[in-house]
Amino acid sequence: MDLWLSEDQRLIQESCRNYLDAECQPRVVRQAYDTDLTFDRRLWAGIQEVGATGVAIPEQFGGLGLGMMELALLSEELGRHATPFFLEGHNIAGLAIALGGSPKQRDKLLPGLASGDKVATLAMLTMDRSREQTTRSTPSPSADRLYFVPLADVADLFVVELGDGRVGILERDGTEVEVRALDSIDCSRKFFEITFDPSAIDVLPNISSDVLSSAALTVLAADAFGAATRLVEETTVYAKTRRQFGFPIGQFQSVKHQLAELALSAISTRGLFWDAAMSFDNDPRASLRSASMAKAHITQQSMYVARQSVELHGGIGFTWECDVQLFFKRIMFDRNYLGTPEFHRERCATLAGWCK
Amino acid sequence: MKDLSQENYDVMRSKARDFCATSWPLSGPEADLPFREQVICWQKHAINAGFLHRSVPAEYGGGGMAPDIRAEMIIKREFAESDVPYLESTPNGPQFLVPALLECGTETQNQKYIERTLTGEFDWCQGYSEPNAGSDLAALSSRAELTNDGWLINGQKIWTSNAHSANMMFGVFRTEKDAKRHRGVSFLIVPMDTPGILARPIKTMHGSVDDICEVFFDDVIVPAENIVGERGDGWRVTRSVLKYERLWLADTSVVRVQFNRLLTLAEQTLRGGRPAITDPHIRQTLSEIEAWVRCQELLIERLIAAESHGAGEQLDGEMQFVKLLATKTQDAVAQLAFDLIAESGLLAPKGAELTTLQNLPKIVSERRWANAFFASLANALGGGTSNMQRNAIGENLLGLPRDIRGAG
Repeated sequence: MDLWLSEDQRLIQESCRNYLDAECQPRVVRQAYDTDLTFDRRLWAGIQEVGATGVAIPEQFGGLGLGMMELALLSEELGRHATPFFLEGHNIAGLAIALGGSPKQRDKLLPGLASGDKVATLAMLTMDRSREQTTRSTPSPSADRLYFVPLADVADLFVVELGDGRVGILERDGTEVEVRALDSIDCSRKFFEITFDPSAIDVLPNISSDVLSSAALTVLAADAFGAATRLVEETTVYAKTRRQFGFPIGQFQSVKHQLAELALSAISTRGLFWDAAMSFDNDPRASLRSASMAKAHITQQSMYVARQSVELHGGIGFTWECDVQLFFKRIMFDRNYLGTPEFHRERCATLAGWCK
Repeated sequence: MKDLSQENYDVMRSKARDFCATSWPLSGPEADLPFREQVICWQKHAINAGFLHRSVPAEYGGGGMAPDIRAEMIIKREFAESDVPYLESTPNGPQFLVPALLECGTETQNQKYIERTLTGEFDWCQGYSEPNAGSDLAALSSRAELTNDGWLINGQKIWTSNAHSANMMFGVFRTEKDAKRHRGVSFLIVPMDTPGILARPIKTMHGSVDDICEVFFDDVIVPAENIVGERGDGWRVTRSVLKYERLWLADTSVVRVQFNRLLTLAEQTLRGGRPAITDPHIRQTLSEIEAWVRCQELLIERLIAAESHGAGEQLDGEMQFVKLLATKTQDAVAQLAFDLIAESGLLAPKGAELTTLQNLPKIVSERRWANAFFASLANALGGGTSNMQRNAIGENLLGLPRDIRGAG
């Protein structure tokens, strides 16, 4: 495994960055915060146009036919721009169906997801229920209600983590799904509660919830990495321009050293999500531990970076007006959604076979 | 001389493992030599077998192979896991000076110093810090004046590791009276048996008198040809040495072995009748330390990959984190070990040698872990303090305005 980006991968990341630099500036993100808007059709249409709705879907279905590594690089850029509407989840859903769907499911669902005409999201079990239930052998979906489902208001399709280690899909088209908005902190990925008829779930035959979660953890880690490195850059710019006592505050060693530690905490973790993504592309089932490690460590370090960034900005950093909050909340989501750092550190210990 | 570069890395790994198992301890008449000479013999065997100093040109006693960091990492990892004496010599000569000489030395100097340094015959110390020139190295005042007999050196160095046991020193001395700060220094080679040199060990906080020294120069004369680079060009040579020192610090084979030893300690230590590794808090801490270790490993993996694509310089920025990362990991390892050994950590380490990054993997006993509690602090100091690293990251990587500094 060569831990290096191919020329194509580098170009993909660069074009994602250029596109989002132009189209997803903080004022665009703020519409999700300051209005009732939950889905920006214009932004989505642009994302459709560049093909970012079908990154890991094979070309025969209209996708880009790429892998987890490219998805992770896209996610880094989404985090870096706090891009609304959980495009990561849409892509992971596409990946799950591409990997685990029957030929019939793939033929029916993938073209719509690849083009972005249909929107998909993830409906995963929450922390308090995931562990015991994945080891339980109940054959049927264990819940008719799931909380913390992003993008549920516009989703045409849900990829659902079942309680027995399997993964299913729920189509809006064929059944009644009741959706209730939850008052969410990260408005770039607002949560919903969904209620549905479990018998409407169609199981994906060839993917386990471990593999699905490995993919999701990896993109969350990449997202947090992108948001944290953005915060280091923004805070550095602030420290160069803000003057006190007659000097830019970044000239004072207290500030300089704090920023150096933030840079280390944010940037030195890059290898963890690259490794998780490349492991996944190599063998999804062998990537569980590296995905958990990346998710635990990167989101934990990123949260530290975010909190320190507020402090370094002083009073302005504590305001709604300051863009730091967009990335701060982005990282809160990445950290606690699908398992806290503590949960994943224990999972790393267990998966390594540290005796218990 | 075997050329391993065409072979598959897995094959190389198993060959290195075999070499470790069969090459040490020495056999035959070599086994009766004094330990230090045994180490020199073993190092010669390791060079000849293509495992050590692979990329140093063959005419200077190296392996003469193309640089291959991945191969070197694999070999070092195997060496670190075994008992072979590859860390018995300090890295100063083979790891820092040799590559700097290859960049800045003359043909005569390379012939004279490199091979004997690789085998360990020349054992080096570094003459940098002075009582009034620590972090501010450019303030150094030890003088070297060119006379008819050669360089006449007077002054003092301090915090010089191994000065009492080394037989050679390289370092910087002020040679140009009229040039300010770093523009006035030259890089000189000083044999430690030259009359007028006194190396006096400094007792460290954990009771060792076997590591760092202060070194006094009283009318010491060394040949005029012992200068590396031009007069007043010592800073450039020093930067080259320090570059290789940072690369050496990035050697993650040692860190991983050390983490594995910590795991073993956690498995063997009992808490309430059960292995400590079953304790949720210990598991959390171990898991977090491993993530930091992994960050280092993956940074090096990426460096290796970048080098193989001819793009190593793209990681210059991130490589600046290496020393702070290593310090952070060492600190966390030492603190958790101190927790695990509990009361035993309160007994004075016997025959305390400074347990640095190099020999920490050899630590198994509780007393040696206690030693590491002190010694891990040395990582925050040697080769530039952590705060100097933070300055460098802030200024060079983030581009923050330079610190308020004095002259120069």
